[in-house]
Amino acid sequence: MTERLAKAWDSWQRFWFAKESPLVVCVMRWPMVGMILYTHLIWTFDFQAFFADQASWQSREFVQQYQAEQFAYSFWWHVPADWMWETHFVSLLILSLFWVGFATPITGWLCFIIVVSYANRVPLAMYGLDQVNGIAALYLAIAPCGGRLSVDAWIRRRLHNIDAASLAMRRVADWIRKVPFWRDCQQTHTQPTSSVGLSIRLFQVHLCFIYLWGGLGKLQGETWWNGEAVWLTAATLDYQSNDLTWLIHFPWLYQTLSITTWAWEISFPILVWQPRLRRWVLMVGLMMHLGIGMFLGMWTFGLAMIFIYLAFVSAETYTMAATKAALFWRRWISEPGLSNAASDHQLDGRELMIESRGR
Amino acid sequence: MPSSLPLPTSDDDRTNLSNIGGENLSDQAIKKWCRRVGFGLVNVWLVIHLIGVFLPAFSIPPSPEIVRDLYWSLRFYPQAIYMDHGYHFFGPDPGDSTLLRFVAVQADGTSVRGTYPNRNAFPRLRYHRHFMLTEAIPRVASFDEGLGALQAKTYAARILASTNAESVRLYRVTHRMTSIDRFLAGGRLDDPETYFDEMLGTFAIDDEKSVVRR
Repeated sequence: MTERLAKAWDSWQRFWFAKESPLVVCVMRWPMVGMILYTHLIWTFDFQAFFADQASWQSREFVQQYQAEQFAYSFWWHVPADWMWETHFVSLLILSLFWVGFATPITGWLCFIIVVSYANRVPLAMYGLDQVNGIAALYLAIAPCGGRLSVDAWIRRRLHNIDAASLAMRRVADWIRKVPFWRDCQQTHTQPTSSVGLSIRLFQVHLCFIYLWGGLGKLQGETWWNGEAVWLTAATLDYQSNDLTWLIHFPWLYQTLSITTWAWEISFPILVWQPRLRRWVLMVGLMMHLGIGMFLGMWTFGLAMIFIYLAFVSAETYTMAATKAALFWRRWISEPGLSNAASDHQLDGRELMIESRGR
Repeated sequence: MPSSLPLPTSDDDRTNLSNIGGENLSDQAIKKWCRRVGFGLVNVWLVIHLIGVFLPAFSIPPSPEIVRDLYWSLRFYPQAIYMDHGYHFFGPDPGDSTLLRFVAVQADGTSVRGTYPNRNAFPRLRYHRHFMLTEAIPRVASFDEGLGALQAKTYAARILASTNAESVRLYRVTHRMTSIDRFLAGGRLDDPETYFDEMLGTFAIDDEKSVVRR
């Protein structure tokens, strides 16, 4: 019994806390926080119409009554009316800093607070996109997602490369290193850590939850069973951004799509863990979300869901893709005159150097 | 020069050995203990988090009463971190859409008619934001009638402010989906007979500059 418990505990530890390279979350930070920034930037167009205390679509009186029994926090309830625009722009600035990877241990958590506060201030205007933004903000905040491909990493390299002969610069660098807030940022990991493993697993498992409940929810309805649901979705004019009514002439197609949708969603939490099937399972999801973006006009939601798929890609794959992209760039664009062999040799040397410097 | 370190022979030597790298062994033990406690707390949080993320979707009716009760007791966590979601996208069935139609009357008697939201809003995300507001009308009304009335008043206040009007008549518009048979018989998605209006009320600005229902 004790042995079994120990084995189970060991499996739990290995599943949730395996050490992973921060490269994965660092890559994910760019599109995910980019989407969060875009989402909040768009509020600027209708800011007063949604966020003003009175004469707005979501007045203070209505929202506070709507959330009466909820534990929904928002810093917007404490912002005076005269300071609302300033608060909005400061929020956008913080999101921008997190996006480019500046002071990520701090801006990451601020990003999470901002996402939650905006969502809880205008709750009825939220939909799937905001739910995915919330997931991205929390899981990126718990990982050192500024370890690489970030301003933090760039500054760290610069501080290490300060010219020894330049005394003034060295003093500035020493002073910066001692600032408590900055010292924390400099400790951002570049080595594989358990917090990265936890963050990646949470992304993966949460995606499984989303699809599982999406599929089970559909099975409670009649039209997902009889295969008409995809037609009805396509025929909802108020969602439609491209005409899909031609589907009516292909019953086999919309019926197959309806059945495939819930069958794929329910099987996702099982199939995606099979290494041989993962690529195909994700490919089906990719096509589904691109279809939602193209025909229902929800590009932002579709892309946000696809960005979570990046958690299923290994750090080695990212490194290999970057190497191939650099190779392509060097061979065909920057130095097209180079022979293939010479180009390969020089690039390999450069890649090795970059890797060793990063570690 | 000795080839290896001498064994400790006095208490002083032993004290020095316990101070490795400027850190006392007891400090190291405390740090180790703190790391263990921290790791244990992370595991506890992880279990709470997984339950907190799983329960809200599970508690959507039809669901066992025990799950709904459990969710009600633990709802503080998913609500506090904005993960209190059902994820039933387009489920159980794709449904009718809800829009808002209004007739606002300005001080000079001019009437302004319109439908909300504006489908041509750009970027598209803005349209979805506004569309979510009208889509929420039946949900809020079925949840709490009083809250539904307040929601209508809130929307009316916004329309009054943006049209600079003195009174506004609001209609909730249900846009029914077009069935396969209807479409094959020549029906269109925007046929007038697919729209059903239901008056939400007439709202006006009173002497104290607040919006009241007439």
